[in-house]
Amino acid sequence: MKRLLLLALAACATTKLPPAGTAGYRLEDDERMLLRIASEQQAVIDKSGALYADPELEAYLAQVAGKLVPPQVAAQLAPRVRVLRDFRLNAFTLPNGAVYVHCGILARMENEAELATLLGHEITHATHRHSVRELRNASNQSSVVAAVSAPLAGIPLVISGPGLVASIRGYSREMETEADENGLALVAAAGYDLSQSTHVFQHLQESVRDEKVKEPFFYATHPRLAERIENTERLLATTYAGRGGGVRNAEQFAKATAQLVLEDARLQLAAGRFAAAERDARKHLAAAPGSAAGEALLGEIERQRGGAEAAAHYRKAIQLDAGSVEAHRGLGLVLFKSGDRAGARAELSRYLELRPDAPDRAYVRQYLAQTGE
Amino acid sequence: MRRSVFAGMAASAALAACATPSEPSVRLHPQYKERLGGAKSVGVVPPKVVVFELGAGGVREPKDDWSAAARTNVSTAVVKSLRGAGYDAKLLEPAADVKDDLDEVRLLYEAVAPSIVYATYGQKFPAKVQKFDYSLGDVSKLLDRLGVDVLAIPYGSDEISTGGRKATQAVGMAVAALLGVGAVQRSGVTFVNLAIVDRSGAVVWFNVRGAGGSYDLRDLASAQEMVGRLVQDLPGAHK
Amino acid sequence: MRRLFLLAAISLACATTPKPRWVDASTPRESRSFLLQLPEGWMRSNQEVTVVATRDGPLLQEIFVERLQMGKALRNTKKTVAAGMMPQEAAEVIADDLVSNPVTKGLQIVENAPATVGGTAGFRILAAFKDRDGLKYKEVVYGVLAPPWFYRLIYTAPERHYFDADLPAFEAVAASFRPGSEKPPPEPPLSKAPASAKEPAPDATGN
Repeated sequence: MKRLLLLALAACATTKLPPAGTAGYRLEDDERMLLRIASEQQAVIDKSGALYADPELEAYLAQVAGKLVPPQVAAQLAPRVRVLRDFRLNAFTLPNGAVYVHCGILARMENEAELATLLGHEITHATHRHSVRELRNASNQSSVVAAVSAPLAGIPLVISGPGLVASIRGYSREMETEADENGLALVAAAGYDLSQSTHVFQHLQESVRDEKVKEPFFYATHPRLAERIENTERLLATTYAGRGGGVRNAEQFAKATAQLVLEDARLQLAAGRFAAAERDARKHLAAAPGSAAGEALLGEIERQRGGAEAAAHYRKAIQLDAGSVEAHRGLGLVLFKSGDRAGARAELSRYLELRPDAPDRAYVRQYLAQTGE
Repeated sequence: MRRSVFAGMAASAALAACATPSEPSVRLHPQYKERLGGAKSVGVVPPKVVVFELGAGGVREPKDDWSAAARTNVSTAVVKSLRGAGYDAKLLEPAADVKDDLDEVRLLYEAVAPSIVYATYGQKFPAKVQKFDYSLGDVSKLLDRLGVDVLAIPYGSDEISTGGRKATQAVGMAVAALLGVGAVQRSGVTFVNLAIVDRSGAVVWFNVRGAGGSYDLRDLASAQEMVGRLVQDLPGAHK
Repeated sequence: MRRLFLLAAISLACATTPKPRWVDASTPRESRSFLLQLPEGWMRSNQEVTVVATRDGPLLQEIFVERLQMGKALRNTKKTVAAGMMPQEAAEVIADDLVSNPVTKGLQIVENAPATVGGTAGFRILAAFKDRDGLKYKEVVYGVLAPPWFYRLIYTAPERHYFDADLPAFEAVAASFRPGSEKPPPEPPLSKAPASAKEPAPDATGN
């Protein structure tokens, strides 16, 4: 959906506020208001059905965020990371430290160092009080025109003032650059491999290419992706010159995100993005080789795009797990369509035994009647 | 957002309704006398009130501190006006177990109220104008738990022009006066509606007022005046 | 929900124009895209090819009927309803279009069953979702497969009070539905062949 945000900013001095964890950090009145509304917004998002609930994954994300946030900062602003069921590549942070990351961007990542880069950026938005700074910038400027004409990807919004909208849609270029740079400092301090830091931008660039669109709106106020990569590479070559090695934790990351990657595959498939769905399903299987759900999903992808390998994937799923509901269903449908009535009858009957309240049971009963059951 | 778009249309319709004072603004259920007749106690639902700042560049920004003040003022004004009309009115402060149910009713009202304005003031669907019939679903159990006979549900929005916008307006009006043409940036619109809902959930009484620039819900006296005008058409109200 | 935004925008735009936005539902349509009988006392939008009808206002109940050409893109999914699909396959595509709508995150498919509409094979989906303000809605979608056309009859209403109250009226509308007999316009000479439910050829990035 095309987003139209015309933001004409008159030049103004950004109000400097000491970040969380530093001397002089003290909440101000307008900030308290933002935090109160942010909590309301958080409650709405959490009740909306948009969350991907996985306590183990959340614990892992909390652990990574915890490595990035020094104790003196955590005492004043403790970030909390949740995942949204959305295949688009996006993440945002509310002023109260609630970080929301889409399935899509997590599923693209390869290791914990990339995740740390993303979280470092997002956490900086909260610790460096970008929302209240954005709010004050907007109030200071007499010619701010913000006409937003499209919903933000289904996130239920209770707020639409400049400070809070910016927390979701993107801050000024200055603040985005600060988030990139301070985020990188957090990643370095936590001992991660900095060479992975540009990968997040590269994933975003690939996504932009895949979608064949101009850089999506939520980057409109972000410096362009190429600029961000250049800026990060410059920092690696100067501030962090000579620093090699560092933690990647690719294996732990893959294990922690394996189920999420499968969920992203399902979302991609529903959206008709077959190649992305297959990429995710195979990535899931690489991290979880015995996954019947992964094989069944590959079967679904093949079946829905008319591929010839659907039955093979379903059969493999059933070998891995004889109770795989999706595999019995999918194989039954493939066999029915190919004219193997006996085979279809066996699989579809098994499907209904395993899931008698299946939402599509009426179709299945029709097919069973046609197979002479 | 859909609701805000409808609320905007409702505001326009409310203004239009007030522009034709010969047409009553109140909407009555066909059996409102029977349904409202025995009601003594009224539970006033904490209202949703949003106050926007209208800036010179066309920015319409909700101001949360202004909205909080306006909410308090509208609540106070509604309770006072209903008491003045002879009802035993109280602002509801529901316990946790009731709050979710009340929120569900209030959420539906936020779809019903703009629909009432849309269909019976704005577009004027003939069947709805002829027979006013809107509901929030059965609320009898809820009213029993709250200990009231009927619910009163207010809703409001207000727009406050900034200095810059007012200056622009003044210039625009001067130009329009000179040339007889030109669109003038509108002043802020104040818009309040109020519904009385009986045990069956039927909206038995509904009224809406809109005004361009002459009220300010952040001010208690102004809110009271506007709400007072709203409630004056309630049976039993003193004029 | 997108159509409600559009409706509202059109309504706003039309606020000062003389053409009525809504007409009595019994007002005949000139378009023969499909035939149906709307309930007495309802209003329908004053347009021809697509029908939008309501009694109390579109936020409280809405019947939306449209005709789509098979093989053409849907709004939220790249999948398409193709000629030759079984009703279940078409229902899968429509369910995925609903589920992929970014405005109704958390939408659940409650039921999905074969159905006959206007004597034509199709399906019936029941879905539940919350709107952006948190109000619970339910939606019934009938899909009708009549190549080269695909028809959708959609009923949406808040779960509280309105959905059950007006569902019988919608079912009566669905029972009265008959597909139209128009043929689609010819494809321009240089256009691609119509898309099918199969994935388009991957581009260089493999997507």
